[in-house]
Amino acid sequence: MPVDRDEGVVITTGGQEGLFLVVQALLQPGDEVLVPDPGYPSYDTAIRIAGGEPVKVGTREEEAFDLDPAAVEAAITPRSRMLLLVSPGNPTAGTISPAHIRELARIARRHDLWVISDEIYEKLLYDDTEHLSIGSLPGMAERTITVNGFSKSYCMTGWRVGWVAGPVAVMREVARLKRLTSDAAPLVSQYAGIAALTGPQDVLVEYSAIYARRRRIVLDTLDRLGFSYGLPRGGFYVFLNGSSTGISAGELSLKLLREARVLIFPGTGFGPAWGDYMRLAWLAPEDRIAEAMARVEACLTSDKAPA
Amino acid sequence: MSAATVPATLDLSGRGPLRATSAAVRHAAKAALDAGATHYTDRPGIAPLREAIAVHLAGQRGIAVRPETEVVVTCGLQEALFVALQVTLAGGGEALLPGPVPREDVELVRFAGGTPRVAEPTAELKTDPRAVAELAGPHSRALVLRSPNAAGCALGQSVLEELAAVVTEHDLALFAVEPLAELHLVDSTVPSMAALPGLAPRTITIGDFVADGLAGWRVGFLAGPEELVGPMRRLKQELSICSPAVSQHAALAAMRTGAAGRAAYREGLGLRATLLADALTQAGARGVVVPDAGAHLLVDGGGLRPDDPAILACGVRPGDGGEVGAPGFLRLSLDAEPAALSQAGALLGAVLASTQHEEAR
Repeated sequence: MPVDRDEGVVITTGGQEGLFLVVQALLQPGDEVLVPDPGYPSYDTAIRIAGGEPVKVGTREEEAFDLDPAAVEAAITPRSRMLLLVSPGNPTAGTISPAHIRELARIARRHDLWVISDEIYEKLLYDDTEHLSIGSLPGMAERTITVNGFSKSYCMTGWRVGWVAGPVAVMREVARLKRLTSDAAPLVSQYAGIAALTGPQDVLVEYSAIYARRRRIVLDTLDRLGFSYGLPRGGFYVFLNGSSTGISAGELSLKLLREARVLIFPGTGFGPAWGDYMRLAWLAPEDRIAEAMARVEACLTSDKAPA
Repeated sequence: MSAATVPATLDLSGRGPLRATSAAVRHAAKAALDAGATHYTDRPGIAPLREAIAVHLAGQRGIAVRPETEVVVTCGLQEALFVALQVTLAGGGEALLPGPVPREDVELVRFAGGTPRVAEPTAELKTDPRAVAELAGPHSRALVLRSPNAAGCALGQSVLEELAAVVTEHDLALFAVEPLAELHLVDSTVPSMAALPGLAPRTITIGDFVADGLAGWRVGFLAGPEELVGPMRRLKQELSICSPAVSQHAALAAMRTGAAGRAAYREGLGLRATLLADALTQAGARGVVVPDAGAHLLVDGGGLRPDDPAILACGVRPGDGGEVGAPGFLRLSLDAEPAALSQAGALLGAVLASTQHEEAR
């Protein structure tokens, strides 16, 4: 991905701030932004603060929450200005296939859209899933802003450091707005970021293996319990469909909290259409994940046991 | 002084304060990292730091806030000011900015959706409450008050009370930006606006830890009534999730152990301010604004800009007073060795004396 060394990158106080700044830099009041649904709520906040309107493009469990280019193009209007891609995604852990990325690039060029590509989970992939950065494709560097950071790949959530990279003109405006919103990113965190990127990378292999084991524990339990879900190809979540229980995800979340003492977020936190879904994360140590899933299984299995 | 004895450029353009982080704070930060402080923290900030801030505000500035719900640790003072203004001005409205005002405050008000109204300071760069009162009107929504002001001039009790009257008369939200509260060089008993009668319910106090040498750690705070702070806390979380964990621990260590260091730094700044002011004045410069607080001194540039050949030739590199709302003034950092400041004062003072004399003719 071609980036100007001197002015093509802005270090931000976390990737989330980076996305906020890019949206503020590019949007005008009334602009529409195509956003995958379900999605992380902060995207909508950033868009609305800039005076824009998020336009949701639904993704489907059956397609592992991949983003369908045809659905994106069908949602484009004369006010569309930007396409937001998040791959791997939150809460779905779905990834956008390289073929879809290429088609989305063609759509962006055809409709003269900016693309923000949030790639914060890019290094956390499973099952030989391939990540393709849209900014690396021909004709895309000049219209793509890539958002990334250190939180997820290098377990640096508390350091609050990330980056955005893109065309110089955009980055200059991002830098100006960065100065106004929080000034420079923490110096100590920037040096920690340098160490993460330039030091030994075997930690990524180690973390991937750890997350893969936890993922296996979770998915095996969900399979035994008969839950369906979009196969998580990246990140550390699964967006599971709880409708087989006959109760809403909100009720199921409360039930599991009260009876199994396990907290799983209901999907309505990521969009009103996701009342049957829950986001389960495997961020705790493996033994706690195993215990949590055992409690969930015991709780839900006992419901089915004969009186 | 001959050209042969002029040293390499004396760079006094630092935005500062440029105080280094103390060894004790660095060690505390390292210890926190080693103990695992690398994850997200509680979103409004770690509880011990919020408690320490609340205790400090109550004890030192007469401001009562509950740490659980009325203190938010931010990524520096700038983030605190941004979220406060964004929440208040997103629907439009005017923000009164008593000058001298940093350029960035004006930009920030616009970015937050408001209209900045800058009240001119006095010729001596002191805050003028009458100028503020003249700007206040039906569209005024907020007052953003830096105390001391951006030129380092303290706001005395009477000025604060006059401004308080403007705030209450026009039902304004008040943002009391007080990063230099710990760096009063003369009188450390200047009250905070939130401590004035009747102002607490409408005041957000904003500060940081630059006085402790934590400028690069990017940690600050905002504090005020829960009904005002709540939306700001939520926006801060949307923006940056939480403040840097290691920086919060550094700030906590500074609050617990840094009183002596702050006092020594403050005393040093006071001595250096006097030294530099004397050197400039003895060299013939006029218009020297000796700060009441902070780490900078301003001097009338006599029509010269910081990058003017005459300035550059004398070997001193000043900052631009326009950045802090004092156009035409040169801004000189006090974070330099006394000998360097004396030398800079003499060199620059001679240039300014000549130019100011020419201007007067």
